[in-house]
Amino acid sequence: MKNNILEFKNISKSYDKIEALKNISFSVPENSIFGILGGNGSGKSTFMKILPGLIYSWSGEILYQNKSINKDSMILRENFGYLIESPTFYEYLSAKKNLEILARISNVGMQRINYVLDLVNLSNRSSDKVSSYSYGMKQRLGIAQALLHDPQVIVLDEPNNGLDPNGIADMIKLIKSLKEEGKTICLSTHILKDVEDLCTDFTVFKDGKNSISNSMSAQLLSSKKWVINVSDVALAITKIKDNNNFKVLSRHNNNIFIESESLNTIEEINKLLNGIDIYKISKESNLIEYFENDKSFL
Amino acid sequence: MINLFYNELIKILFKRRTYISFLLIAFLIPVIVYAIDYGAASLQTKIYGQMEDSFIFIGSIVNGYLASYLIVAILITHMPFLSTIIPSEIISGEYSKGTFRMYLTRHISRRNVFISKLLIVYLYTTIMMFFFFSYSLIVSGLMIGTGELIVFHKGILLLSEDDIVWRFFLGFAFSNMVMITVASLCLLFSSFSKNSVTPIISTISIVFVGSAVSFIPIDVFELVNPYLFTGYIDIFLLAFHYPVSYDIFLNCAIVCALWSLLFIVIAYYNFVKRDILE
Repeated sequence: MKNNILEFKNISKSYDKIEALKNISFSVPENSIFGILGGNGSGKSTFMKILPGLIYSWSGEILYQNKSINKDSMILRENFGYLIESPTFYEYLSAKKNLEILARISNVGMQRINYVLDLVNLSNRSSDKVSSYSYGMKQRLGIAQALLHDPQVIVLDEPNNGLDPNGIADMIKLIKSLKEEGKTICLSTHILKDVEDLCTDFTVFKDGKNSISNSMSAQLLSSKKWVINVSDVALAITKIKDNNNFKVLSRHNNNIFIESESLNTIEEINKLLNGIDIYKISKESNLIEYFENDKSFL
Repeated sequence: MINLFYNELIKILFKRRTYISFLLIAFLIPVIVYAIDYGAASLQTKIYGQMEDSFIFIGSIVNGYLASYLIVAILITHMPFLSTIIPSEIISGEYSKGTFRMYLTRHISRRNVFISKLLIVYLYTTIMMFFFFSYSLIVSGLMIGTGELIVFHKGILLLSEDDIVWRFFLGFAFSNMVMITVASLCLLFSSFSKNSVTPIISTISIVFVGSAVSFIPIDVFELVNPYLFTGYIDIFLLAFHYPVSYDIFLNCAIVCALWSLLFIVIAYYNFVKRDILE
């Protein structure tokens, strides 16, 4: 059982009469990749701004390593690295100058700048003004500034935004490597696939409320949906339909999406499709059901 | 704190708008000095024309000191506008561009960030005003030489050459206080605004209204004028009176300090407590 590095209790925030966050409560396990999944206007960006103190007026309690943190505390900035919303820089300065400004106030040596620029593949453009950067490059520079002071927890707001497929692949690789280094990563996204591919734990935000946080492995275990890639799709579908325990949801190319009545094992599916070449069997998450089922929210 | 101050310095040094006021002053003053020199005879006639019946003027009374005096007296009323260039953007610019989302998530307090910005605004204003006065004196002196200064105060006041420069510095010191108050007001608006134009317009509007109060000779206005910082925008002229009315300079210092303090306190609380949503 992992310790929780962060715990949120009844976090609420209102803008005039609009309740942006309503008693948000969840815990972030240490050394996890924690996903905050939510649609536009679900309150996840507001929530992300509370952590670094960008939003000052809120109620509730935040615990870091089981210690309550007050609003003026520097702990959530000293040990945390943030990339909140779109990356913003002093565009008239070079990437290196931008990082120098941040290094100076983070008590970080200048050699660390070169390291993080290398990490996000921006070393060769570090002397160029940020105004000449593409959105994807700015996003990568945003990651570099978040990692500059080697924080223990990294908070990333929609880190894959604006990245091309290569950029997304690099980002996923980078986030996973940060986890390997022992960091805790907290990321918000509105893309289910990001959470499925990347996160070890998650919570879902909807209309300012959040669902019970869950681990991806437990979520997958509870899922009764499978995707099977087979050689003979028609025969496989017939076999599945003949079995009362399974239901065909849809098909796409050689993939068949099925749902089972119980928590079946791969062996059962193998047995059912005996005689058909099976290239892949994997469980599908049921994250989408969190969105659709209002009862999921606290 | 030193690092924060250094950061603010870097931010403004690399911005083009920082140099607008310096370029404007650097260009405008030689042109005016040249024009004064070129039209020296006619200027002398206009200024002292009525007195030529009673006095005989030998040589020219138009020199670098007179040129500087005229330049400062004319341009000082426009300096509030130049004083808003940096403070208008120093906070609101970071709101609008979203750079606070990066800067204020670091291990620094908003109080120190505010102080560093305030110091930069005051430094910029002081350097700009010093440049304005000293450049005007140097350029005028080099272009048309120095000499005695004749000004009007209770008649004609002839100031000897060695009694002039310190008066310019006195004028600079107190004019700078007024401009620092203007910059503080602009910083206040900057802390509330999401763009850099609104603080300039708001500040200049207030200076305009305050100046109107100073110039319109109505009893009520004359009563409140000593308590308005805008009433001291032309305090530079008082440095060339004889004797110098130090009590007015003291009033100016107190009034400017109190207004500046009020503006800074409000700006500070707004900056520290404000939610950064942009």
